[in-house]
Amino acid sequence: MHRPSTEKRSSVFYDYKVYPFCRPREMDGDSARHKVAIVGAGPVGLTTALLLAKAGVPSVLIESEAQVSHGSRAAAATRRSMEVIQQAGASEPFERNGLGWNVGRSYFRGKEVFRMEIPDDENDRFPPILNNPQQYWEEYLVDAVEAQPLINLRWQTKFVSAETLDDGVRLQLDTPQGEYDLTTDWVVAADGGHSAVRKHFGLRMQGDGYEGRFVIIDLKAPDFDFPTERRCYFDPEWNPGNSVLMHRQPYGIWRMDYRLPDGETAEMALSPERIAERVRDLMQMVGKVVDWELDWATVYSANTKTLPDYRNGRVLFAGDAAHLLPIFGIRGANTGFQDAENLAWKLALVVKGRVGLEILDTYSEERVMAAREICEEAGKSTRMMDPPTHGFKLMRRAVLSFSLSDPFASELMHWRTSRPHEYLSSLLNAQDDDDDAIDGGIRKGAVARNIKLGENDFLFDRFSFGYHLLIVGDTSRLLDADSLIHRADLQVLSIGGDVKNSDVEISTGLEAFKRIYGIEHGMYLLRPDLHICGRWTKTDLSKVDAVLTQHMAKGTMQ
Amino acid sequence: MTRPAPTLAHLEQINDTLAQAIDAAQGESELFLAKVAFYMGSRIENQSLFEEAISIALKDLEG
Repeated sequence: MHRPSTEKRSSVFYDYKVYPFCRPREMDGDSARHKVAIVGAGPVGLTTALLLAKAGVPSVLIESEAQVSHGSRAAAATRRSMEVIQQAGASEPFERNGLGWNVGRSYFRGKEVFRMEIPDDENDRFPPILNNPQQYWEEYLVDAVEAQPLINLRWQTKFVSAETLDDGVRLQLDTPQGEYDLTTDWVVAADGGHSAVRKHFGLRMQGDGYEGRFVIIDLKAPDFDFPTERRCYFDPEWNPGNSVLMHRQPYGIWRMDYRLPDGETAEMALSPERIAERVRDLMQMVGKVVDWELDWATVYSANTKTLPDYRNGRVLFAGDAAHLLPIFGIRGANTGFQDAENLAWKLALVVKGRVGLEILDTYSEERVMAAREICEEAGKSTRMMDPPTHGFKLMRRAVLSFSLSDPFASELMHWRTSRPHEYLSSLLNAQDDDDDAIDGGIRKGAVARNIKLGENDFLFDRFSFGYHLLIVGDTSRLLDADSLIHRADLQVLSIGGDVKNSDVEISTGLEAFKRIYGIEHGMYLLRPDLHICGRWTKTDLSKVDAVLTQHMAKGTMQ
Repeated sequence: MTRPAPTLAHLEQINDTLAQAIDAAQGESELFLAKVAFYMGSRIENQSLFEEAISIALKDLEG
């Protein structure tokens, strides 16, 4: 019998809640079939459930533990992740409690040798990066899930095995009161890097693993008053040849990452004495030694690996269950949120019978391609943070040595922050649009940009979780209420025009819209994950119908 | 197009300058040479020339 710890995790700043096991109906003979079962209630699983619910699709969310995760872990959410969380309806506490930032600095021999500033536009609701320890991410998302009647969150329930059926999957689950079976049309495996679902199906990731190991620690040190930014120290005297990262978190918490010296075991590195020694060295290095308390520590190795296919029949993989990406560049969970968003809208359409199953293959194609691009990018920053061979170590020394006097190569210290992948070759992109003819704006396949409409009022605030058609500057066209676009969970926004039957009319922020989107007249069609799948210089709804028909796999739309 | 062969005087100058700089770098001659190669590589517009230099320099190292 599965009995997860129900003793509160220890923490010097976070009050863990123990969530009870609630006996499900299946254990008392109810053989109800579910639409979607999500294995893993981490950030990706919780967000997938919330997005599905936004699309009207119920789900069962299965979590083996009785508490949210231990440690700050992901800690830094990108703006894009916050936009996904906003779509999921859970962004407010992140925004209220998080610490935003956009500057990263790298130091070598006591000198700032590289500074990177992520653009922070007034048209964005969220800062480029927002820091919150992962416990809080999960707490906020769990709160949103508990308020959502379409989601059934089952704590203390462990995935044991899965049996593939003709039109679904039967899951064997273990709980503190024994095992039971749950039958579902679809399974989303969001059960993390050690995914039991992935192991059950014998699926193997492809890619590279790095030998270097990093200690990650969370400290409570409210008097350690450095700005909220990313600080990287290369080759400090107390850890020669290695690197150290510092991130400020809310609640007086500091996240420190440093590479273990060669030959030091994880056990040695995590001993209280060694951690105390390293923290003292680090504080002395930055010239501020203050009182601190240790909250959590672990040892981490970088990987750039992905499954080659995120769809295995009726089981779909997302987040760390699908790929393992290095923390440098904050790619792990931030990539997972984009998986969740890409998967949720497609799975919702399938569950609702609007499209054929083939659209789920585009989830895999698009996100595997994104993961491969991220692996390539992440590999570059990992080779700078953790050079894997003598040659890479020597070249890093060369770059750092140059950085003190002639910084021509310092750009190599850029940590290549997580950014949304552009689905330029997606099969879901419009075949017949004016993408090539529009000078500037946001190209087809890229993600849409937010626009400030007024005080605390942004374009994305007006969005639901469905398709969006932005009709720009049009005052003559009337939308036919019976047209396809009104049957496709599509919201029509009239931007600076007067389109009859539009769902939302936007009359402010028009200059910013023109500058960022590059058109004064025409249309942008956005997928539910806010990626642009077509743009036109004229209003012609038949073009939109054609794209939606392409998505709806011709004739299967109800 | 074949590049003209460097003159003996030019080769002597490069040889002597590098030798003296390697001596000056003392125990960090490997790092010094990596920096020289990196700097030169970043300044050469013709990338194939840099790759040619790498290829030639990798030959007969055991000699």
